[in-house]
Amino acid sequence: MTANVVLLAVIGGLVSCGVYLILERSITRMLLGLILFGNGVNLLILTMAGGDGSPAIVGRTSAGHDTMADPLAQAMVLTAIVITMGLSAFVLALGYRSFRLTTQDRVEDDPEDVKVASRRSPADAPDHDRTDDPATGDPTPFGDAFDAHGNPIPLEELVNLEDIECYDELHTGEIRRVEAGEER
Amino acid sequence: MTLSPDLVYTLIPLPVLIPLFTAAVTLVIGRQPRAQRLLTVAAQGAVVAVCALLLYLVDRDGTTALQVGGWDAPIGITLVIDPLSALMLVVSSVVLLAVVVYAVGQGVRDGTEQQPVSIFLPTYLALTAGVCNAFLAGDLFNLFVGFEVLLAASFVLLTLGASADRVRAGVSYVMVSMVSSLIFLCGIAFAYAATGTLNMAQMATRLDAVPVGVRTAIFSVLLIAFGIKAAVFPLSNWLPDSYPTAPAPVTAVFAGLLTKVGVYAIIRAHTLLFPGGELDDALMIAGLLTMLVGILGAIAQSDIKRLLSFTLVSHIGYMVFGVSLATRAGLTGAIYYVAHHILVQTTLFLVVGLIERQAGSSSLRRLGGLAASPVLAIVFLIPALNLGGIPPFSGFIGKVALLEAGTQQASVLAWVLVAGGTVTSLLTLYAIARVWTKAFWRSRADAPEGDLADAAPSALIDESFDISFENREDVGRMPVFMLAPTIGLIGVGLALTVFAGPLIGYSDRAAVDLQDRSVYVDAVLGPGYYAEAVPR
Repeated sequence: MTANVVLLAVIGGLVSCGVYLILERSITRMLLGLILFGNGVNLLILTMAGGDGSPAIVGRTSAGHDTMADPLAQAMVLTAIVITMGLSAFVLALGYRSFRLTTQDRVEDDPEDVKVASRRSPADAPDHDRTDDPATGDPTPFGDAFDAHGNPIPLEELVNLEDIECYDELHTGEIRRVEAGEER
Repeated sequence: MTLSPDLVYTLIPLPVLIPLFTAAVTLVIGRQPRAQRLLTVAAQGAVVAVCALLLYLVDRDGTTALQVGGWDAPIGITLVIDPLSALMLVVSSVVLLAVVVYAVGQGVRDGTEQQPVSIFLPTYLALTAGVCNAFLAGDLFNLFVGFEVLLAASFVLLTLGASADRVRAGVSYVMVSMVSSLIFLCGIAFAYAATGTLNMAQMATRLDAVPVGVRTAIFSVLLIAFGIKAAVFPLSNWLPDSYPTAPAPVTAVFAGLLTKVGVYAIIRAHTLLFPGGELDDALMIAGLLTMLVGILGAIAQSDIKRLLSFTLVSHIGYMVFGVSLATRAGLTGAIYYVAHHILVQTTLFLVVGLIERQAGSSSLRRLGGLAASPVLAIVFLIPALNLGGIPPFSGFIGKVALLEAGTQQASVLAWVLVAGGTVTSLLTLYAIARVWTKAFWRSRADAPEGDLADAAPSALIDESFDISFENREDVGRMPVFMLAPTIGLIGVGLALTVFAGPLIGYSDRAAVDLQDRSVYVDAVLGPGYYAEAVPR
């Protein structure tokens, strides 16, 4: 099989421009990139199906061609074009909606993602409790109080630390550490 | 009464046709929501019945191909049902039915005229048709069309209501999916140029004659396209950003099904088209990284939906692991694991929808005290332990099957993956246990932002804003039609444990059929074709 070098170069150009544009943050540019990429791929399918030839209709021939062009590739490209067109329309609608909502043509980072990435202190950790030490993130007796049966004691009912059966076993370590810090 | 073997030819196109026609009808009767809902649930139920019958017939009579429109195999469109696709169809259709009941339950409860329910159900049906078409496709381009149908439907479902959040997530999702589709098209073009056919059975016989380098190149292009859809590690970062913003039932069905369609395509390409194993080591490393990076991401998340999205990515690694072993035991484990994971992941996302409904948030920084509702606690705990791989559940059985297959294959990489899989399983348990201790076990007063809640949690439209927890209007306890499908799916998940023996046996038969390519090729192109085309 021989391939047309010019066409291959065009495909390469289309795809690389398309990829470059898709990497932008502007929805319009991403859409243009998508269309360029799509056209590059369509051209690729046509090229891959072999050389040119007569129309794929029984009884039709054209001058200079002995063989028929591959109709399957044309059918595939037709399908691909229709799909790309429909989805381009959808992206246009999304872009317009995004512009209406944010008044700018830009895709922002996921806010939750930014929040996770910008965590610095243990107090931002996902398993942080309100009663945990805000600086170190260590648990304090108030958050992790359990009664004799091992059930957690709700914060509002926690009045007297000595009421907790297993308080000593649970928290002596913590308190000793704090005292050691004070000595230093 | 015995069923005629010819029945299968009538049944094969139905999982695609029923949802498509129902989608058209439901679109026309959009003004009558009740009729629309009834019709949709009935259609999904019919698809479940058809798929179950197909599973039975395929297990009895073997792989069967339908030549649509009477055009013979290499030319016309072929729909093929083999044990793998039959199992995928059954599990998917059960999940799709449960989720649509859940969505209707939620919609009924929240029903206001602002909600885009009239397009939700037709789009959902189109998604069903796309998924089924992808599983049944017998040629590469039809597989592409199946992908496109389900993707186009998923774009609409993901951006339902078009709030700022969903549009942002939708744009990146659409872009990533389209790029993967275009890469898939490139792969199709290369494969067509190399073999001159799109029919997968014929392509399988002709690819053997293609030079190894070219064949590997085509496979890697296809693998990148499928890898984006299946969210395999270096190509998985789009998933946790886009899925969690969608409405709860939509996230559930996406998480359960869409990535698994990608996994299915990887299995099909790996076993039928490219059994040479040139990229097995690369696949193994990708599987390992998917498992580890995914689960480490999950640990960092404070939103349960995002956490589950990361565990979803992580557990895709298990299936890639099973496929890349390229042994019968590995494939068996992967097939069982796909079925398990579709069910458990969907169930968990449905439960998160219930949590949002009950507590007005899905963030671990806000939740607490959910154990006060025993139903919710049980409904969360069972699939959570299942996902973490605690012994009686199917997650454990699947992981044991995969790890055992890894030790049998016994290459150095396989042992590394066995270790990685074990670590991932433990870390999953850690992530899930943290959700349990924080959201269910501690008092809500102890949550850092416990006094805040979303004003309108988990409605189909998303215009949520923060309000004080006390001022939150009680949108109601969990509606029966949200709870019932969740419990139903848990029941199906438990059935995977109870019937683990027969199911592993079935997966094993499916794996044997996958590895012996002549079964598939002869079913599509006629008996004896494979032996003639591939001289020994």
